[in-house]
Amino acid sequence: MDYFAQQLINGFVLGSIYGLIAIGYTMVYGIVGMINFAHGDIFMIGGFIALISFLVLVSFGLTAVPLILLIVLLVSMAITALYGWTVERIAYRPLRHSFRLAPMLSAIGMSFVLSNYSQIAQGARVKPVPPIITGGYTLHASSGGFVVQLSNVQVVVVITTVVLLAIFTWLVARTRLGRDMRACEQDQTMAALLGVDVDRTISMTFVIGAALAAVAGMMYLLYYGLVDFFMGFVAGIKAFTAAVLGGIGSLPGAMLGGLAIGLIETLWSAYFSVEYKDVAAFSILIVVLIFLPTGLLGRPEVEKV
Amino acid sequence: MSARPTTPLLAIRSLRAAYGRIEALKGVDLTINPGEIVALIGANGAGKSTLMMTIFGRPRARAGHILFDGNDITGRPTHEIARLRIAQSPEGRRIFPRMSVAENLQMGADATDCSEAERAGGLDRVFALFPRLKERMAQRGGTLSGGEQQMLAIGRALMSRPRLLMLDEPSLGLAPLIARQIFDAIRTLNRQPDCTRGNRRRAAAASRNPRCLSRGRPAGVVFPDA
Repeated sequence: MDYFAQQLINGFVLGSIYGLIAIGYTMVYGIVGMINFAHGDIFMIGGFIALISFLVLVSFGLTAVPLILLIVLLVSMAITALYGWTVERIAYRPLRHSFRLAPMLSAIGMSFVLSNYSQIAQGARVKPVPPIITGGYTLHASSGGFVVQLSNVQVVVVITTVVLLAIFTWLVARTRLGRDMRACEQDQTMAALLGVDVDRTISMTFVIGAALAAVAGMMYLLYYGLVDFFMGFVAGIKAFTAAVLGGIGSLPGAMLGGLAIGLIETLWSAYFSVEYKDVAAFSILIVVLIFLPTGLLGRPEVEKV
Repeated sequence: MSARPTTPLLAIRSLRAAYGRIEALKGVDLTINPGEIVALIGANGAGKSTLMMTIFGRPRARAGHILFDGNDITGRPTHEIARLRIAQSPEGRRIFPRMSVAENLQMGADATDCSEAERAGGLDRVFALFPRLKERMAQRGGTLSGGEQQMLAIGRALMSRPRLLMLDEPSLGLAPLIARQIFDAIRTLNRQPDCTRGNRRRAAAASRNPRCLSRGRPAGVVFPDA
């Protein structure tokens, strides 16, 4: 039981990270109808920028950990958002009125560009960082000697995710930008007829998606203590799986799918085999696509008009 | 003819537009003066909807000019044209189905930067015309009936305090009673400059000045037989 509880905690934390990335996939799909395969690499860029800004702050002699974390968070969100904006601008927007597969192919190309660029600029080796947040709580110690622990890193990851999701949900549901985004998702022509700058709204969607991916990248860095140029690939595909599982186009679905994939992967590793954890996650993708193509919270294609 | 020459609110000069190779507008001229209600009538495929959409730049004009209040707006981006306070209740209504009625109306208000007082005034005006919408504020647009959606489409267009209001087929597919409510509402609105079309006889009766389109060309003035 204790072992299971520990795995639930671990799975929940991993799922938060997947969920943050999955939102970027699902938002972009909702508004422009393409799968942004470069989004996983945007997450990787976010991790690198978090690492670089962390090292810069430390070299300036800053020691207050909460302050460092806050600055690193904001810097990596801002710079990664700029990457997201640039990618949309140079690789997708010129192809918007081209055939349907064109932006997706461009996205796959962009994914290679970003990961190779990081490899050349930062080197191919895994970049470790010493643990920034240490300590934790013992929740339960059983007589068998197994201890259920909640580390401070896990607390930070979950709290940051929850806070950002709350801000994001408020933005989409209550602000003018959010309304414009939903209008573009539902009917771009009508949105334009009502004075919405569709191009700008799409740009903002990429910016917000990239900023959330940057948060995920920073959380990954804190949690695993390393980044490398290739980490965007597998994490990106997993988050994409999460978005499909939750129902592509659905924002709560992306978060729910992220948590589900995190839990499945963790529990599979804990009870079956660590080697096959990716197989478990991707089998879910296949099963969902076959039996539940609209996902858990997705809506069917047919709309009442 | 009035003695004092005024700038027409909308002046369209030999406008041409096409979908791919199919030319839908083959040189249309149309003038609408401030305060005028104009009915645009014509057979299916005559180019009525295309004309309204071409004013917004979707599709773009291939040739000719569109002047709004004396300024050439041909070729300007759609959203900038909308911000000049030109509003349209388009063909097919195009309600945002997964937004509430309140949000749909807010989208109309967002089209022009209006103050909170102007927004509240706009809402009052829409509710005065269509009291039904007030009861439906929290409901999703996609779950409204056809008539309610039409009311919402017109209400949304009105929320932008339009100087030029274009209603495409405001009575299409509606029960006669609802259609009458909508045309009554259009008449009540005649403080506003309107460009309207729809049920031929009713529209022509509401307008002193119907214009007819035939296969993408103007086809002379039609006199109402009602």
